[in-house]
Amino acid sequence: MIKFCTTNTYLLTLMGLILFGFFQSELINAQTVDAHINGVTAYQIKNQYDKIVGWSVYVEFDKNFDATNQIDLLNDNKPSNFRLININDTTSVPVSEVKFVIVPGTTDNRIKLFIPSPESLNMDGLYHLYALNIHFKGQPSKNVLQHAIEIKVNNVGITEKPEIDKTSSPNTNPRLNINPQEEPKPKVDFTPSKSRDNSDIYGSYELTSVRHKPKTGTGDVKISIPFYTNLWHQTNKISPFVDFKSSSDAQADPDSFKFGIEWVYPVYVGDNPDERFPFTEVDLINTGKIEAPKNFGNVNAILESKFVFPSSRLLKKVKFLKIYLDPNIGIEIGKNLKSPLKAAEGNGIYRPFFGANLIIQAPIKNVSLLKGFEFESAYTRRFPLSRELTFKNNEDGTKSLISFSKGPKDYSNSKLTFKINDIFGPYIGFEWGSLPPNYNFVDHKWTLGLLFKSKIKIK
Amino acid sequence: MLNDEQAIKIVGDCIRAVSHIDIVDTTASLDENEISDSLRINNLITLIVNSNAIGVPSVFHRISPSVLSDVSSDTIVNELIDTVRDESTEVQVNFIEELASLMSTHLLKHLQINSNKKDSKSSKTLKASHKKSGGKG
Repeated sequence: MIKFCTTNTYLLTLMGLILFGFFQSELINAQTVDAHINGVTAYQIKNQYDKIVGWSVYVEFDKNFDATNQIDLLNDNKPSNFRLININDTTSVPVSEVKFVIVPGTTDNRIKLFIPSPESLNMDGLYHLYALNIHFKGQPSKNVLQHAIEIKVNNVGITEKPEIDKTSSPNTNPRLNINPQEEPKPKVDFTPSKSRDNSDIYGSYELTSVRHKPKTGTGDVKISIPFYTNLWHQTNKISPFVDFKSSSDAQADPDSFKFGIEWVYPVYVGDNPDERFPFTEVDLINTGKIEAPKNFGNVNAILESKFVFPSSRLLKKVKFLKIYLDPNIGIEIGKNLKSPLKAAEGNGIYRPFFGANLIIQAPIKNVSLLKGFEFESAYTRRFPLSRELTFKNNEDGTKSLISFSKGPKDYSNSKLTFKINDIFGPYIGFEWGSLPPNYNFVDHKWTLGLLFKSKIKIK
Repeated sequence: MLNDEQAIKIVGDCIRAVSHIDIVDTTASLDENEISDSLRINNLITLIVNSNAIGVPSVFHRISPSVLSDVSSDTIVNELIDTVRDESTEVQVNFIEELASLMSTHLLKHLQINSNKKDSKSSKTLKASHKKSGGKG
């Protein structure tokens, strides 16, 4: 009986130990950080007489440290945790000092190593860095971190890069993964954009259902190719664009074709990093465009100039929402170049306007099917200074002249998009008001559609 | 060329000046640092390229806006820091040195483009001759 009890106790203790070991290892695994080194660059250190006295090596990680955490300080600033190997002769390069690169106002994810001897590294050598026992905010790295070292000379425009053995280095830096034997080819990537106005490629198709009227479909495509240039000490963005809207409804306003150039000039950009007032930027957006229906029967030339006041994020205390409000004020000036009715031809257009763009984003994390919601609403009030003339198609095939009053014309357009990914998603739209040139009044129109919006990256 | 500290300071300060956040997370995207659309990105680029107070000119360097044309809301801040660090060139105090520096930079770019063209031409010729010979040798 006593023997049975003792055996049972032994077995229970053994099981307890096994379970304790299992949970302990699970706990350690759960607390490790899957970090990587993004890049390692070495620079010469010169003294006041321009003599090379050593090297400083910057190591960039993809996770942040906490420079005040004792575990991080103890492990990450220890020179013996960094092994710098010369691949040519497999010798080790001594590291004398390690410290965090701390810049106020930014997180810390770089470490600087000092190599005291100028002969330790040279331009023709191949070097690799191994970082052991590195901690991020008190948690150890899952793997031994490693990366090839890029050696840089401080002279303007001259850099030397070591050859990278792609099989041994799991680096994520795209510049180090370039195959020199590969023939250069243009690479086109699509990246997310926030709204129709700042998309390089924008496409949507929507179905509209109104009581007592047949369902209609509307397609909207915009393509714009931007480039940057410096003018008057500011960086300007100039984008030629083509914009096409087509509808199955013969009377619809959106049946239009526009092309032109958009020029964004930053009039004022506040340069105080500690500023808290949300409106510190003023941009002037000039757009010269030709707008016409698909058959080019009625052609208008329009110059639109508007000042936009983009805000920083508003109501920062509401953590789960990102809210931006961009008020604008401007004028549209133009002339009718061609019209089916002689009376409307050459008619001038002068329309001051003001409005605002409201963007509310609610990102959702850890859900694979939905990345978040985005609500975008634009409101514009136009004040036509002259009686604008246009025409309408009569049922008997003739055209008759229409004149509009000088009263203010409002237009509001809102969209709630369900973001399946950053560039694609279904949306619910709401439209109200009247838009030039025909000022057809849209009374609370609800739409359902699919949206694709993206910026182009050509490498 | 700038060092890492200078590039981090420039990019960090410019992001904070546009988005008004307290701390810039350099491992996150510009969108996560509240620079979310092309207008704000354009303003950020303007500060980096032109601001004498916090931009690249504040450390007597210059950078061309064209090297930042790929920047979008999903660009990781660290990538932008590396671009600013690698693409900035020192402004020479002496006018002649400045002119010589500009000319050498342009010449270097021109030579690089030409050598790329030559490489692609020679590889095409090689491929063509390989096809003609029926893939032998």
